[in-house]
Amino acid sequence: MNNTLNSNRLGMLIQRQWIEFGKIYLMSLAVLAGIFIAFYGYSIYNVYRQNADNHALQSMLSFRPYLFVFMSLLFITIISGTYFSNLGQKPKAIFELLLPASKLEKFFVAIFYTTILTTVSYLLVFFLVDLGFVSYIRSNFSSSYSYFDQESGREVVVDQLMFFYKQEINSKVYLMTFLPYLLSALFLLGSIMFTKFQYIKSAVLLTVYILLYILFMLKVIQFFTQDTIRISEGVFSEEVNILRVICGLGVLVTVAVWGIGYLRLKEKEV
Amino acid sequence: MITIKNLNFSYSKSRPLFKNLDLNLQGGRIYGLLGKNGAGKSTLLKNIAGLVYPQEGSIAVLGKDPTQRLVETLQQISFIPEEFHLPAVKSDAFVKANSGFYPDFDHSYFKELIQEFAIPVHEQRLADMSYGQKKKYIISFGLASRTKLIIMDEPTNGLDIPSKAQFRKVMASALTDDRCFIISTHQVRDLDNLIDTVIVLNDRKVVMNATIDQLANSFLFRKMVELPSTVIYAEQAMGGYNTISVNSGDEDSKVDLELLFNAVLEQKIQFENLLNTSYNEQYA
Amino acid sequence: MDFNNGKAIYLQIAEHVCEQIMLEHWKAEDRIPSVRELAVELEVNPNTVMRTYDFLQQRNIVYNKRGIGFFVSPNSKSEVQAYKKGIFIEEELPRVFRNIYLLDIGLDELKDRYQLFVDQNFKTS
Repeated sequence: MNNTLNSNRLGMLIQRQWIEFGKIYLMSLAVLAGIFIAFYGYSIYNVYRQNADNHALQSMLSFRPYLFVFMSLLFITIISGTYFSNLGQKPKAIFELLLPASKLEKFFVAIFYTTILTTVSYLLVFFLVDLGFVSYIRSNFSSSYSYFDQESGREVVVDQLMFFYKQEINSKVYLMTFLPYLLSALFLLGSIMFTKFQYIKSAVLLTVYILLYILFMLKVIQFFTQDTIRISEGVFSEEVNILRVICGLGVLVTVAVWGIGYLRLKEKEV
Repeated sequence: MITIKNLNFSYSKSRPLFKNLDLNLQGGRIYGLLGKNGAGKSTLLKNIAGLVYPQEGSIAVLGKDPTQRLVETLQQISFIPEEFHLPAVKSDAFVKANSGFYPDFDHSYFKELIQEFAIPVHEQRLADMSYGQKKKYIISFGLASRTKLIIMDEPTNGLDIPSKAQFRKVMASALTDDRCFIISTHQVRDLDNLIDTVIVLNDRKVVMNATIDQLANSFLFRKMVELPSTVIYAEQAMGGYNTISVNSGDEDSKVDLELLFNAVLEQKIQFENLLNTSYNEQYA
Repeated sequence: MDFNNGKAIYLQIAEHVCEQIMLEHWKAEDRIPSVRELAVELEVNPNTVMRTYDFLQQRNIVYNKRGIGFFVSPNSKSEVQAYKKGIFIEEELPRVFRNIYLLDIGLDELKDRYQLFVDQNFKTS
C-alpha cells in the first residue's frame, strides 16, 4: 500500500503543484481580498455620506453574511474548476499524467488544494479584512439594541457592529456547510471531464441539473400530496430534521462525486 | 522490455490507426521509429507510455500494463514530447519540485548535461527560454532521471546544428544495457549512426523491425551508374542512382535509412519476404 | 569524422583506429579510448564501436584486458599494414586497374611515374 500512498510523495506533490498552480491561486486570493475590501470600504463611505445616523449604522454591516456565502461559493468553485484545467492542454497534460505519483495521491492533493487550502485561506482573508475594517468602525461608532428574551427571562443586548466571527450563528447553518464542498467536487469533476472552458461548462451543466431536479421533485411531491391533508406531526415536521437529512445526503453525494472524479482521472487520455 | 500484442487503436471509429500490431522492444537499444505523417508514430509512443488506451490488445512495459499508470512504471518512463510546457520558474526550483519523483535521478549528471548543452539556467526562467533551449532542458531532465525507458518524439526538431551534435554525443554516452530508447523522427540524418534498430510503421502495422546489422547483412546500399536486374530499389541522384540490392555476398555497406524508408513504403511486401529469407539462411 | 562514404560504419571506425595506430598517435600497449568514449567522440551508437573493437580484436590489432579496457596489440603496426593492404588490393586496386586498362596506360609509364612520385614526396635530399 505504501506504493500507492506515500506521505513523502504527497508532500512533494503538494509542493510541485504549488509551482504550477500557486500563481493562479494567489492571484484569485488577491482578487478576493480586493472584493471584500471594496464592499467594506463602500459601506463605510456610505455611512459617512449619510452623516452616520443611526439607521445607517444599523445596516452598515448587513451585507456581510451574503458576501461571505456568495463569495465562498464563487471562490471555491473557481479554484476547483481550474485545478485540473491543465489536463485539457496537451503539452501540460502529458507531464501531469506521467508524473510518477499514484492516481490516488494526485487526487488527494487535488482535494487538499480545492477544499482544505481554499477553506483556510478564504476564512483567513475574510477574517483579516473584517478585523481591519470592524476595528476601525468600532473605534469610531457604536450601534446596538436590546430586547427581552422570553425564554431566558433576561434582557439581551445585541451589538450590531460585531466582528463577523464573533456573532452567534444558528446551528442550523452548520448543517449546510456541505454545500461549498459539494460544488467544489462537482466543479473538480468538470475540470477533469471537459477539456476547454471547463468552468462555464460545469456551471451550465450544474444549473441544468438543478433545474431538472427541482422540476422533478416538484412533480413528485405534487403527485404524492395531491388531494391530501397533513395530519400527523412526524419526524419531518421539524425543520432541523429535514435539514439533517439534506446534510447527510449532501455529504454522501459529495463523496460520490469525488469518487466519480477519481475514476475519470484514472481514465483520462491525452 | 516492451511487448505489444495485437494492438488495435483508433481515435475515431471510422479510421483505425493500428490493426493487430505486434512489436517487441529490448533494452540496450536505440530504436528509430519511422513512418509517414499520420502513420501513428506519436500515437504508438503514447500507447506505450499509457497516455492513451487501446481498444484491443495488450501492452506490457517492464512487465506491467502502462494504462494502470502504476508509480513503479511511471518512475521508469521518460517521455519527451514534441510540444511541451515548462513553468515560469528557475531550473533549481523545477528540479527541486520534480526530481524527487524519480528515485534514480542523478543530479551531477543533470548538471553535466546542462553544461554540455550550454543552457542558461541561471539567467532565465524556464518558460522564458527559446524552444530549442527548453527542448534541451527537457532532454537533460529526462536523461538525468535515469529511467529505463526513454521515449522521444522528434527530439532534434528545433535544435540548432551544434546542439544536434551535442545531442548525438549525449545519446552515445547514455545508452546502457538496461535502458531502451525509442526515438520517433523524420530527420534520420540527425540520428544517423546512433539508431541501431529500425522500426517502420506503415498501413496500420509494423512493417519492419530490424537491426542495422541485420539490414546491412541482407541488403547492399550502393551508388550505381546503371541499374542491373539485381537492384530492388533505386532513386535518382547526382551522377547515377542510389540503390538497394540483395546482399548475396559478405559485403558490408552503410545502411542508408532514408533510402530504406522510401523503399519500404513503396515495396514493403518484397522487403518482408527478403528479410525473412535472409534470417532463415543465417539462422536456420 | 566524415561518415559519408558507402562503407559500413563499423569498418570506417576500424580504419580510423588503424590510422591512429599507423600515425603512432596510439602506440603498442597504449590504452585506446573505451567503447563509450569513442562512441561519444564520433557520435555513434556504442554497439557499433563494440563491433569495431571485436573486428579489430579478431585481427589482433587490439586486445582487451577485462575490467580495464582495450589496448593496442604489440605487433599491431604490421597487422594494420596487412589489413590495409588487403583493403587496398581488394577495393582500390581494381578501380585503378580498370582505368589503366581502359585508358591504355603502359606498365612502364606507371613505373616511371611512381618513381617520380616517391622522389618528390618521400625522399629527402
